[in-house]
Amino acid sequence: MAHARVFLPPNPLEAALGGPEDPIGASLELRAAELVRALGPGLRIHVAEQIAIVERIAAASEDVLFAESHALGDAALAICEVAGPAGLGPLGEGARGIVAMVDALINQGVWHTEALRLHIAALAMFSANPGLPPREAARVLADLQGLRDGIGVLD
Amino acid sequence: MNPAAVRFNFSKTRILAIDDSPQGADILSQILVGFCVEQITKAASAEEAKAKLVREEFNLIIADDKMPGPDGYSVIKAIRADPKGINYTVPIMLASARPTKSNCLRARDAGANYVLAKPFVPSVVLSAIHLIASINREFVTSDNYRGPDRRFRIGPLPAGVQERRADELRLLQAPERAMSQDEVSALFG
Repeated sequence: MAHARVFLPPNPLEAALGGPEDPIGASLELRAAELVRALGPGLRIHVAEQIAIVERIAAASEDVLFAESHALGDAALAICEVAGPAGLGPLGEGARGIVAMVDALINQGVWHTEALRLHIAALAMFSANPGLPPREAARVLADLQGLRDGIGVLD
Repeated sequence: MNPAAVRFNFSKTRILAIDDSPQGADILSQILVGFCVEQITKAASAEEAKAKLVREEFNLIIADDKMPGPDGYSVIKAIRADPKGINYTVPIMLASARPTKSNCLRARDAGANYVLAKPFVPSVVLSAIHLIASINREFVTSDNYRGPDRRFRIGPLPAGVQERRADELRLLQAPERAMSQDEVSALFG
C-alpha cells in the first residue's frame, strides 16, 4: 500500500539570514558583480572559441550542418551561459536563438537550413560588432524571433 | 522583503557547486565569493559530486542540468533516493540555460527546490537563496516522490502583488519555450 511521510526538516540555509552587523544583500550583489566582471577577458576568449566552432560547422554542407547539429547546439549553449557575464549580451541572445533552432529539430523535427544559417550569420555579425547600438541589436533579435515564430520554433 | 535590503552571513554556509563547464563554475564561484561564502566545494561531474555528497554535509547544492554522462537531474535523484543520506533533505537548485517548462517540471519532480536560469546573475542567485532560507518547507517521502512539499494554499494576494499563474497558463500554450526567471519562480511557489 502506498504511503507518504511528511515532515519538517531543519532549514540549513536559515543561518545565512544575518544579524545587524552583517552586510546587506545589495552590497554583496555589487561585490559579486565586480568579481564576475573581472572574469570578462577570459570569458570572451571562450566565447570566441565557441563562435569558431559554430562558424566551422556553418561553413560545411547542409548534410554536415544537420549531422553536426548537436555540436552546434552545444557550442551555442556554451555561448549563452557566459555571454552576459562577458559583457556580450546581444551575442548571447543570438546564440539562444540557435539553441532554440537546434532544440526544435531534436524535439519537434523542425529543420530550416536557411533560417539556421541566418541565425549563425547574425551571431557572426554580433561577434564582429560588439559595439552595435542596443536599439539595432534589439531589432535584429526581434527579427530573428519573428522568423522563429513564423516557422514554428518555440523559444 | 527585497533580498537587497536583507542582511546575510554566509560564513558557515557550505555550498556544493556542480558544473562541467569551467567557465560556468567560475562565474558561480565568483558570485558566491562575492557573497562571502567561505566554504565552496566544486565538482565537475555527477560522479565527482556523488562522491563528495557521501562524505560531506552541505547547506545548499547548485547543479548544472546539462553535463556529459549523468546530468544534474540524476544528481538530484541520487540525493533524494537515500533517506538515510546526510544530504537527503538539502535544498537543491538546478541551473539551466534552457529553463523550458518541461525542464522545470522535470527538475521539480526529481526533488529540486528551485531552478536558476543561466547565465547566473548575482541578484537572482541571492533572491533564490533568500527565498529558500526564509521558508521552512515540509519534505515529502513517498514511493514516487521525494522532495519539498509543493502544496500551497490559495488566498487573497497581498496588496501590490500581481497574479503570477497567468504567466503559467500562457506557458501551457508553449511548453518548450525557455522561460524567464520570474516565470520559473512562479512554478516553484
